[in-house]
Amino acid sequence: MNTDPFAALAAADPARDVSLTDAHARRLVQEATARSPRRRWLLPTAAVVAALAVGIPGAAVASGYLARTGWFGSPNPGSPEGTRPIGTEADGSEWIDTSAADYSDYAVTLWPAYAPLPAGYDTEAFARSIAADAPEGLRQVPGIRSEFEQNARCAWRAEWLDADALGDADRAATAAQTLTAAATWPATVATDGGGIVDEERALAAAATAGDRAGVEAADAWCAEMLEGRAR
Amino acid sequence: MTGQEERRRFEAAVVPLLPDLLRYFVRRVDPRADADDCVSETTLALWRHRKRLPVASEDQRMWAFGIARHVLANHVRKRARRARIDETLVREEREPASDEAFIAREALGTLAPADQEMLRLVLWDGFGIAEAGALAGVRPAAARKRYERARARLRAAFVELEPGSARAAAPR
Repeated sequence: MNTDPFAALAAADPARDVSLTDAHARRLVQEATARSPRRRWLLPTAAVVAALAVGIPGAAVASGYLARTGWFGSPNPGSPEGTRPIGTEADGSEWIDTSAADYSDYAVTLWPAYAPLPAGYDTEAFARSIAADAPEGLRQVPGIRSEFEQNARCAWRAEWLDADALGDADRAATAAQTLTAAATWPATVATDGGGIVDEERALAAAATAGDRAGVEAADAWCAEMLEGRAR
Repeated sequence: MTGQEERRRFEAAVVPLLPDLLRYFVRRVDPRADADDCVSETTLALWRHRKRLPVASEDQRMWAFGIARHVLANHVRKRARRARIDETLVREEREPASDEAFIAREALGTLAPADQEMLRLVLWDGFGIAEAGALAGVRPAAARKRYERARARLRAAFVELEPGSARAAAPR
């Protein structure tokens, strides 16, 4: 009898008997590549072509930040040697070069104004410490903001736990209210690959209900996330 | 690169990935027909994003699954809306291979969604822990912590559901 939970879970794979013939796979690809390109790609492509035609993208020059590429949305505006995108999602926002020397300087300007931090935090220092941990590559603005939002939520979770431990009802209430709003901060919603918003709602509900065990359980990897963060 | 060359390169890269992508969706959506639709949608999305097709095959796999993850998220959102207006929808569950497999899947279902996904990515989809972390947007060190935590929680849930398994489920 197999009572190893990991072997048992491997055996429980619902796709264990699923296969796809090579011919079927080829047909899928051929159907996809035979379709006409979508109209919505025309505008960003044109914008990129225009930007490249003048050499250095105008937005990058105007901003003064090397981290700003001036490249917006998808498709890929070129093949920069030695770099590759970190994420695969693409929207209409700008690609930011996190390997640029001034990335942290630029990143702090992206901190979302709707995401406050608890008392005692210096937003710029906090944002810089997050930016300093960014893997090098190209990244779009919503991904950067989503990371900021997640870190801010973790700071508010820690705030609630501190306030609860001290019996400070006002502080705990403020933290719970902020966590409730934070569950639907826009970059998180836009980049949620499944389950993130639900987890944050569960965290906010636990905080609102004064459920310390629930807040502790809904840790959303905050312990790892706040490691070494400046305040 | 001509259009024909681009198609050939795309086909050579993507055809070998489609069986794994189909299994990825079968593990996460139901009914089964929706997994087929998700694979078609992913293939279209990969083609639309073909300018980003990485050169190295291991990078191509990560790239494709990153896009698949977004297709899945869109599908789940649409599905939730459909489910709200059609309460007759019945979830299709494939029978697990054994009682232990059934218990393991039940135990998996008790974990937080992020823990479940980390275990699925590693145990079912065959990703390394760092790769699974990259798909979830976290650094390798954090991914390792998450994975170990998910394993511990699965082990505990399994033992709770099947007390006689306590010895075999002990940490190794």
